[in-house]
Amino acid sequence: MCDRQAQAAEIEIRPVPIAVLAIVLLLLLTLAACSEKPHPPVSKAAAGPVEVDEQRSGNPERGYEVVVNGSYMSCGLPYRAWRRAAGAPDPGPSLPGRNQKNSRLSYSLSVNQDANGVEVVSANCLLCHAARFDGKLVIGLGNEWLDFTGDPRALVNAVGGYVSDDAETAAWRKWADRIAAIAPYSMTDTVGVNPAPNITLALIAHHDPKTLAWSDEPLLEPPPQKPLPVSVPPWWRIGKKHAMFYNAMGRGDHARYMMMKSLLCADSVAEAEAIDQQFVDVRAWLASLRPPSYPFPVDRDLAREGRAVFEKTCSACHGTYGPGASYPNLVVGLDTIGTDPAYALESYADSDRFMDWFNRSWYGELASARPAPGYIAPPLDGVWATAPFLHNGSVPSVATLLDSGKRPKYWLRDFDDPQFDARALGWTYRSLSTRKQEIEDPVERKRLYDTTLPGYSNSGHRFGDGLTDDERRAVIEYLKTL
Amino acid sequence: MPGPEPSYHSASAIRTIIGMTKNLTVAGAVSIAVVFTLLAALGKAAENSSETAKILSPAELLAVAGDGDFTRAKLPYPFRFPEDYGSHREYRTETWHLTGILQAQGQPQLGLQLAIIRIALGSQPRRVDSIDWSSGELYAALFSLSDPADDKLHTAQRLSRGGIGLAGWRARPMQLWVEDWQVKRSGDEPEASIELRLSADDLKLELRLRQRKPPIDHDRIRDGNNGPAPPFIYYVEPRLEASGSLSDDAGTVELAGSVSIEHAWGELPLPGGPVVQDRFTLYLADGRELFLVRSHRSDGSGEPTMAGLLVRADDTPVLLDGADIDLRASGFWTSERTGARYPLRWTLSVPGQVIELEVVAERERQEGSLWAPFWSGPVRLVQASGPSAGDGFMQLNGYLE
Repeated sequence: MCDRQAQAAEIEIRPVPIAVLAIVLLLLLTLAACSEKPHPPVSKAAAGPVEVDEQRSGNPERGYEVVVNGSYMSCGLPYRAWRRAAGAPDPGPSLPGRNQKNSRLSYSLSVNQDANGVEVVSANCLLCHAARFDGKLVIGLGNEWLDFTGDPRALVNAVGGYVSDDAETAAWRKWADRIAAIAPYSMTDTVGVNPAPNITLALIAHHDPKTLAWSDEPLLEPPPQKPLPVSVPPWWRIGKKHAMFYNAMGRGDHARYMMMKSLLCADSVAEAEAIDQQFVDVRAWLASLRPPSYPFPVDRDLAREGRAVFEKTCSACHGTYGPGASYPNLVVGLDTIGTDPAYALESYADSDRFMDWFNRSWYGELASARPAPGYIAPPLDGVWATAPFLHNGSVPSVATLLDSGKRPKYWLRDFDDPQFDARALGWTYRSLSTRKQEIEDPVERKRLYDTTLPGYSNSGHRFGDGLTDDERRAVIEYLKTL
Repeated sequence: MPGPEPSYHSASAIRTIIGMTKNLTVAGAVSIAVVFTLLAALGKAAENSSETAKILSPAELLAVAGDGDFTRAKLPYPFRFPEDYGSHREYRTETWHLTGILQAQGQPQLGLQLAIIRIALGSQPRRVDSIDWSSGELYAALFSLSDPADDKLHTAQRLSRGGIGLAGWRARPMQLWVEDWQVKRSGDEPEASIELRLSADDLKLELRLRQRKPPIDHDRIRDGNNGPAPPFIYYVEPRLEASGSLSDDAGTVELAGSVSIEHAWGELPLPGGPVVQDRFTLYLADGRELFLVRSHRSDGSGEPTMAGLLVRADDTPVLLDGADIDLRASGFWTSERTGARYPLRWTLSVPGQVIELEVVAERERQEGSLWAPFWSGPVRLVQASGPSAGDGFMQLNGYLE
């Protein structure tokens, strides 16, 4: 899993009622931030190129199997109770390799046995890391349609009404306690942005770094309750990136970061090591992923013109594509990139206790958390599928990304019937003139993206402003070929 | 260019979940609290009928319920009244829950509750201890009523098999009954009326309920909420005008008041689990009704969660969730009998609906005990300033420490 933020597309969640809760879990998947503080000073990275770190080799096929069957999650809602409450909804699109029980569920849910043999259901990585595009489920595409504005505890309590025997009750209680621990840190202001980084920090606060034992009381000061918004990046970037996360803080062994979602359930080094063995394979599989092909027509001549513009204007940071491709792995400093600094600064300046926890922990044996004061320019493979843009999902399309004057201040995607705008490379949206707080309709209020909120700014990355309209159209056409 | 299929977008995760949660809880008002106490009744009845006097847990009792091919709740549901007032045997479980307050002139208010649960049994005849469960379905009922003269609660239970005339629903005339307890419906909307005949100890209650608002069904309540279908279907008759009489050996007294009915069918929550619910049926003086469900762990750990349904004076339903409702206990009473410590005074705030008031129990000793002790009784609604803000009924579960 991993990269945490995500963007993605539509989810198939509908069928999975309660399951959804699981979602919450999934969120966790993400990341870890982290660096230090009280102990030795946390090592920070500088802007500039990120050096390569050798990764452990694994078996990609086995990695896929781990992801789709979710065997890294040892807690969840008791399956029998969940089934009773959720029924047997249409599971939607099926994935190859799902075991028999999982094949009856939405692709984003998996069933495992807990330590007492109780079957438990929870969301797997694909809740956040798979989404629909053009009617097809795209594995690895960040899911930009999830709603984390609600209190996940309500769902857990609701399912609690269907729990019966002692073993189920114990399984439910563990899940309920974990969700209760992260719930205050998981609720976003806006539908479609992801709180995974903050959830991960909240989980870290409850684990001993050495033994990974769970503490009901936080052992560190928890993160701020309000999560900063994050867009979920596509998995297929991982193979090119030397460090994980938007601020490139995930240095060293990537598998250790990718498995951090399991912090929700795993309370011992032994369990973590078993998961680690699986995630060596997961990382290998993720690194092998490639983006889908653009499913609509492309004007090849215009794309060729766009390539020239792109390589002149964009390649220094985002690399080149096709034969002889290159990718510079470059962290661009906040002063240069100018995008919302909150996410980078929170990690760089206000999260030393978490960074320190990570670096002292079992995770830190192979990986290190070294936040940089900037954002890494991502590879743009399959970028056409990944709207909205920037690390916080604040810009609705490539067209507006390349022309900062046209970025909407308050905008609303259509979450009920989304339409893809192939001219702009983004989901169609309505621009409003009203701040979030002033919107009366509660559904619309939660869906409105308000770029004036802290962490939600659409500023910066103005490198396309100097292009002509024709050049921008050409670049957009070229991006469809990546 | 077409985007992804709408259903995949809509709603996303938590939202769907929350949608479901709301439904679970609101309807669940009936279900959990009711089912819990009802099953408790079942347990008692079973105990009485068993020669070995083994106390069956609610879970054991429910274990005999069928796991067969029962219809799953699916929305939108084509509500049809009066048919949907009756039973829905193709669904596994069903509850009718009446709650309200009654008052004789110049007397204190009484809390009234009638909960009836229907449980479909497995397709294969099964026996648990000495009980023959092979008759297809079970009806269990719980009736509780505040004593008119004393600060205490009367409770009574009934348990009968359906299909052999002891309990059930018939369409003509429309009648739901469990042994001698009856709920009869007559007339056409909007002038439909309901006759209620109940007894507990030596008290006999006869009530006539008149609809003043049409039933508010699940589809209307969920309007605009495109989350996944909840596991049951329900409707609410939010404030029926009640009048009738209560009699005992000493005589008869005339009563009037307000009663609500919540009727749900589908996959209803099981009792005996780690989560219990408090429920509030509040009649605001301005014509609104507010149904609240507070879900909490019976062991006191964790955070309670809230869900609610507000019915505006013009009948518009508004679903509420935890972000909309702030309910805090501000006063307690400890039962001398069981040691359970009940919150009998609450501070309630629903800022988005301009509701700020105190919910205060009218009486203290309204504790009943079946499988586990519970409290159910009348409450009054108090505003910081000004006249009475209304009244209502409260049921509390899971406070035995």
